[in-house]
Amino acid sequence: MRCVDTTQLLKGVLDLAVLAVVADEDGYGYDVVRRLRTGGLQDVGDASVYGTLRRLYANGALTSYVVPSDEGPHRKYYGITSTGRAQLKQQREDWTAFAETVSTLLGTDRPATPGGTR
Amino acid sequence: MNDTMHTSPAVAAFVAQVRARLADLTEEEREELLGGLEADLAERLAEGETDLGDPVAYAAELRAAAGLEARPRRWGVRRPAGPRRPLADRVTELLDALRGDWERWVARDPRVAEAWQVTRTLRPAWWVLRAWLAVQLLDRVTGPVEKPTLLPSLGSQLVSVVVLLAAVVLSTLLGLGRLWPRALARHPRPVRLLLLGLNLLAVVVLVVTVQAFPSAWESHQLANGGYYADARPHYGPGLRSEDHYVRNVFAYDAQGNPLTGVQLYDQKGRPLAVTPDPYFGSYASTGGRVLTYPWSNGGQMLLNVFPLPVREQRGDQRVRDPWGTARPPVLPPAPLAVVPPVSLPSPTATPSGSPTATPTTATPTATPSADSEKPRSR
Repeated sequence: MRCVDTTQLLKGVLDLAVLAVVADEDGYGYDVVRRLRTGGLQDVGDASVYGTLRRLYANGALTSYVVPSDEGPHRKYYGITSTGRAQLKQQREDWTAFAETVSTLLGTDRPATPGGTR
Repeated sequence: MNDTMHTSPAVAAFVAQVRARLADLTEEEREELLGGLEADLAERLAEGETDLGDPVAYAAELRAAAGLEARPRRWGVRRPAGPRRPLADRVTELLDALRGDWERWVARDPRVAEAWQVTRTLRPAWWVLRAWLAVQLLDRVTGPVEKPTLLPSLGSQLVSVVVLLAAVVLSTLLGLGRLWPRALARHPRPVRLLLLGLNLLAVVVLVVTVQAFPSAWESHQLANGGYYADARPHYGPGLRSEDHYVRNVFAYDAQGNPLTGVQLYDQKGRPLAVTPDPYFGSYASTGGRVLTYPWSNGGQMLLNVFPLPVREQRGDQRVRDPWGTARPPVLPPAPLAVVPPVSLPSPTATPSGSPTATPTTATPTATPSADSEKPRSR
């Protein structure tokens, strides 16, 4: 997997991943980053996630609210909207179909590949 | 105010840098991107992360992910539609925008970027230079006008060394952002403008100081206390010895005792004065100048009466009424307390000292010692 530029792959699915995480539970920027990383996307960049959150918010997929903090700067939480849910549903289907196609492709290819390459 | 929970300077600086690279966005877009960033960064640091990374790359990634790529535009602020914002906000935005423009312009060409990198590493040199300039300014403001010297003459050498060192330390702390990090986090705008103003002032002082600095030629003259032959006509008459002007004259009487108030005239009755240029002050050990002051005959100031009184002072101009000041000029001590008594060579002098010898019969040429003392006529 390391040979593939994972950041490139990530770009395509970051919207979906972020939507899924926020749909699971409202969260602030770094919280979302942490959950994505815990979920296995270790290479995800903070700034990419923040930018994605902002773009999804601008497109109406997310809503945001500020939670004042006694301990320091305020936190900005994001929650999913109905538009976001629809988008998530749609993209999830697209992704599943796409992933299956690719998996099938890779699955059928594998036996044909000589085992000694790795 | 609970200080421990305040945004750390590192976070504030990082956010400021990122903000600078979002300068072309509207206020709304920018706040949208930066909202909560401080809290998140603070959390990352709290989790033990020590390096926040490169704010430039961070800002680029942020913009790319947000779909707000850098747009080609003219320099300055992209004026967002909407109500007029307070002037202070617009000033901050303009500064951010100019900074952003500069960074982008530099980043366009790798060679320029490299040169800029090198220049940035030379910042400590500027911190030292501006400290020196600040002390120069202090020197000029507190004292009379004088030529700047490498070590500003603030009364005494010790004081100037201490003041200079303190200024360098202060300037370096400012440059490192150690001096006002909290104030910067709380009141970024006034502190930023103040720093900008101080740096601009330093540049102005630099230009003025460089122009006022004595040229190599002048320094040479100051150090030698006189002008060379080809420079003589500039300052008119004056007693000269070899190739430089005489600053002061000490006369002794025949008994070898120093005289005061000796008036000198040449063979035609013209006063034999030292140069009237007061610039012929020598340097005192304390860093000040020693200037000569004229005598007076009631109405005129005379520079042909010796020894000339001297006054140690900071400036290189004669003070208008030095005798009325707290430190009036004083007669300088003679370089030699006494000199051997002298007399005219006596034509009667004979080595034998014979009482019977008469002046008329004596032969002066027979005594070499007497011969050597005779005034030579040419």
